Amino acid sequence: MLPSYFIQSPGWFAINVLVPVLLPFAVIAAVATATEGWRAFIQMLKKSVDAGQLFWVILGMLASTGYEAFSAYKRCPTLHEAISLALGLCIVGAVFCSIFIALNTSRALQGQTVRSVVVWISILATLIMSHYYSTIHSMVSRC
Amino acid sequence: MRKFFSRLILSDRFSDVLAYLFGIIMIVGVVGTMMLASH
Repeated sequence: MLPSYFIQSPGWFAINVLVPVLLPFAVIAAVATATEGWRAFIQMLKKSVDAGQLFWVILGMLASTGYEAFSAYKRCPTLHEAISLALGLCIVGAVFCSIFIALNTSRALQGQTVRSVVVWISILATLIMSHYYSTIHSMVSRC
Repeated sequence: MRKFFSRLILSDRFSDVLAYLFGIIMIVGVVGTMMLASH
């Protein structure tokens, strides 16, 4: 049931996806259990994403995916359409992420909280990008 | 102009609309890439 990219290159997946996405949460769990306990862990988990911090993670993964797609364009003539769409998605997504980072910072400066729908979309986009980055990597490394 | 941008950036509806748009673009882009790659 594991995705093919996880079986093909678990080391790549661990370094490029698990480290930026999950390692901070593992450290938060370690700090929470060492200081306050598991109840604090949930609060710290919420605090760690409720200002839209995940947009920085998404932006990094979009940039890496875009680079993988760009560098594979000449190498994979059969995948030109898919690579073009991936490249376009990465550029548009990066613009949106940058806007959200600026928007959330501006709202924080004015003492406003980030909208919950924005936080949920950032969590959803992080999950989508974790899968998409790995899929694009595995797709272009085969040609 | 500055007042307009300030009001726009701080408006909840603008944030929500932008978030939904981003979510839709991500889902359509990812599904589209997978469909194109499988052909």
